[in-house]
Amino acid sequence: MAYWLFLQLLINGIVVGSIYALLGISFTAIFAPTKIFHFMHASVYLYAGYFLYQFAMGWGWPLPVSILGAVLSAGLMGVLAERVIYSPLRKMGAGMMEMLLSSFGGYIVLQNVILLIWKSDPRTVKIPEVLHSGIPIGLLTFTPLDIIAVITSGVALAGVVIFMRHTKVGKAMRAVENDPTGATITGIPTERVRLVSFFLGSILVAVAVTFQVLDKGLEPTIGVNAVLVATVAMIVGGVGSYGGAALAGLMLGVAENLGIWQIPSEWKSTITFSVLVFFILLRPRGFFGHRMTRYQE
Amino acid sequence: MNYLIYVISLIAIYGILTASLNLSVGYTGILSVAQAAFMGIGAYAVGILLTEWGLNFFYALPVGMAIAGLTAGGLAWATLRLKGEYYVIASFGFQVIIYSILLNWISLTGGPFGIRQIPRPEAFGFTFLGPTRYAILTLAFLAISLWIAWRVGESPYGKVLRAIREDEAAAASIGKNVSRYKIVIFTVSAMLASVGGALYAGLITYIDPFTFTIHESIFILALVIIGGSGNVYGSVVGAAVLISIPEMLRFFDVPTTVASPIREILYGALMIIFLRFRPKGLLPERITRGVVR
Repeated sequence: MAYWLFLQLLINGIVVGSIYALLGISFTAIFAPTKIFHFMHASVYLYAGYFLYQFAMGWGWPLPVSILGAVLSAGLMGVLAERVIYSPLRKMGAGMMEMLLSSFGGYIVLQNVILLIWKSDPRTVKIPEVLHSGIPIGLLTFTPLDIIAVITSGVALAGVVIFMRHTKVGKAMRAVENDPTGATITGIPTERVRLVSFFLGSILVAVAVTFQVLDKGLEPTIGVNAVLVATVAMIVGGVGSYGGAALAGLMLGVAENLGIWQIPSEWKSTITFSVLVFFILLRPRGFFGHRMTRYQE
Repeated sequence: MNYLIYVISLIAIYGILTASLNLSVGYTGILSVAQAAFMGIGAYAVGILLTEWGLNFFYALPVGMAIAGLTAGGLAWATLRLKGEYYVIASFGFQVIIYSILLNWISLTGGPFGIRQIPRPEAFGFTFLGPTRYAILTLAFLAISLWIAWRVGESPYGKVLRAIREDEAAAASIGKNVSRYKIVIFTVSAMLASVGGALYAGLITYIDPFTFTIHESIFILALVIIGGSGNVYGSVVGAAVLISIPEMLRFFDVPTTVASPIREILYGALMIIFLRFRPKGLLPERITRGVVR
């Protein structure tokens, strides 16, 4: 019996972990090239979810169209955040601290706009019953939605890695990551590359929130937690390594779920962030981040 | 009238909190988002010791300060090596951990229900029961805290802190023990924050974990920025302006479910606008000319 329970928790962990992996990749896509601790990522995550809710439940669009709409709106929000908040500050010569503080400000504003528009009640989106119905294998169960989540996050990771290695824009993003000044000198349009990185990170986070909405629903408080998980995945994986972020996210999900076996589930976030503090203190490079020194400016 | 006095107490409490954060953010350049955690430690220490143990407020206060100071010292010691974003993330993690302890250690903290009916402070047979008396108490604590912050910030000691903020390596190269300065200032800052938290618990007489979240930390940060980072008086001005203006919303006929988000939107927007157009805040930092040696 315990054996089955273990396997079931492992499966749950892999499903949750693949969503955490998406969060980690999405945050890395923004943080690595731009070096901005984009706290408003929490807002983009939340808004993508509420847009999805509004499109699907409020205006009755078909589900795939709503998802596409939400993902694209999130991308737009990311670009706007860079354009309206960060870019002017950068031109003023502001440092990382000012950017982060502005990001907090933007987060507070957006968070409360949500409370004004959608109130703080939990929201759910209706999906076809098939996606929720469990497939039993022996004593184990998982839903088609779970499988879709795992596959999507795998595809997203592969897509991002190929994009970064083999396309011109991806290479430009890595160049900006390594040395923004050098990249500018060689004629890379740094500002535009940053916009791409915000767009990419924001659409990825929208994909992550889609699974959250379809599976568990929405509440205005889930944004901060998503950003914290994303940060933990990014740091534990090693900043700049997309595979590392994904692996760390996956492990985090598995660890959280296996932890339920022994430890009451309300301590979940405490454990997650203890892992983070532990990693920051003892191995700040993470698993795969051999280039960490460059970030400690 | 009572309401006005209540607002004054609130401003005094947030003045203490803001000045405390200003020491680490404004003077030393340690960007921490865990101030609400230390505020929470102070508030819960007083709440628990007063209701469960029946201790006097003025005995409970130093206990809270000691716990906050020790935690902060330990945190600062452990996170010394971290720079910039990494420090922020670590303090973030700390904030979340403290919040989750307050929320989940139900036998100690009452969990989500919080602690109710915290008695008002009492000393020498004199109870700070009425709002006016309590306001006087908070103002007295504000004065003491400001004096401490001023003594620390606007002294040769504060000059070293600013040197660390501007260039850590340079400060170390003229023989200043950067680590010790950072640990000390972070500890002092946390202890002052716990005083703010304790007074907050006494004022509201009811605390729950939802007050001491990351939002509260960001709010205190906003007060530091808008008031003027690196200026002790700016902190009080920032708290006074940002708490009194939104309180005026009450005199218009706005329901609370709308008024409180609008208030927060105002904070957030002001924070962005100030960082963009007046990064020095309402009262900018004053650099007095030092003795040239």
